[in-house]
Amino acid sequence: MLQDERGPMRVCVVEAQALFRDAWRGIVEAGDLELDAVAGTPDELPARSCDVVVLDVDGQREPCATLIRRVWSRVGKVPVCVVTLRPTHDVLASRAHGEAVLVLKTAPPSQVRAAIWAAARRERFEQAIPSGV
Amino acid sequence: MPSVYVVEPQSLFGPEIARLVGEAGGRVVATSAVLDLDAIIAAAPEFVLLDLDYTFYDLTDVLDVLRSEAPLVRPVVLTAERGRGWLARSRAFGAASVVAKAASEREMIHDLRVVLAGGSVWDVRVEVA
Repeated sequence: MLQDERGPMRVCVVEAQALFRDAWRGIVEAGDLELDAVAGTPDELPARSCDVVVLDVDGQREPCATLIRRVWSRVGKVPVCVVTLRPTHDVLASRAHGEAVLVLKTAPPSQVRAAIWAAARRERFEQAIPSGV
Repeated sequence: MPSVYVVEPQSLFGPEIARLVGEAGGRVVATSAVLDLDAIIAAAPEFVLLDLDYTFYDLTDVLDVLRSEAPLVRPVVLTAERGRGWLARSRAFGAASVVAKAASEREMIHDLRVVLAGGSVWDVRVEVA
């Protein structure tokens, strides 16, 4: 109901790799999503609410659960979609505890958008995760 | 137009890297999410742009193999890694340039233009712990 009642869904992104921050506009806005802000760390997010936060944990210096709490302390307890290249145990634990939806950066953009939507609707998102992480 | 083979395991960002290479005047011959040495040798690019962050690859091993097996290919390392000695180590193992992912789009295009024109870029930001 997010999109119907309040216009496009507003997405904030946390991306440590400065070079790739601009790429998120193309990834997010190809769907019915609106990129609200891209920050380098959770603490740099604008102190206003949004509908969902995409959290690229690669390059961040804290465990996933800590990063999620930092996001929540900054923008409120919004849904979080974690993206990573190689899911570590802390990332998998956050997913298992229902704190975030997880999607890998090897997924095509359409699948990443589907994961963002799933997170925003607080639905499950299934993606095969390679073994041996 | 210099040919560039892009290795970007974060395939979500592959198109962005290819776009930046194009903006810098390079011709992307392939963008791959995996490091396939045979494919690189077969493509025979002038440059290989390597982003091996967050993977199991050891950069110095990869550079060493490239230097041995594809000596005409100039490896350009793109990284968010940081630490003292990083530039010297990369150079010693055969990197032609090291560009930090702390770069803005404008900086990256500038740096790539320098590299593709035959120059070198050693971004000191990777040395900052």
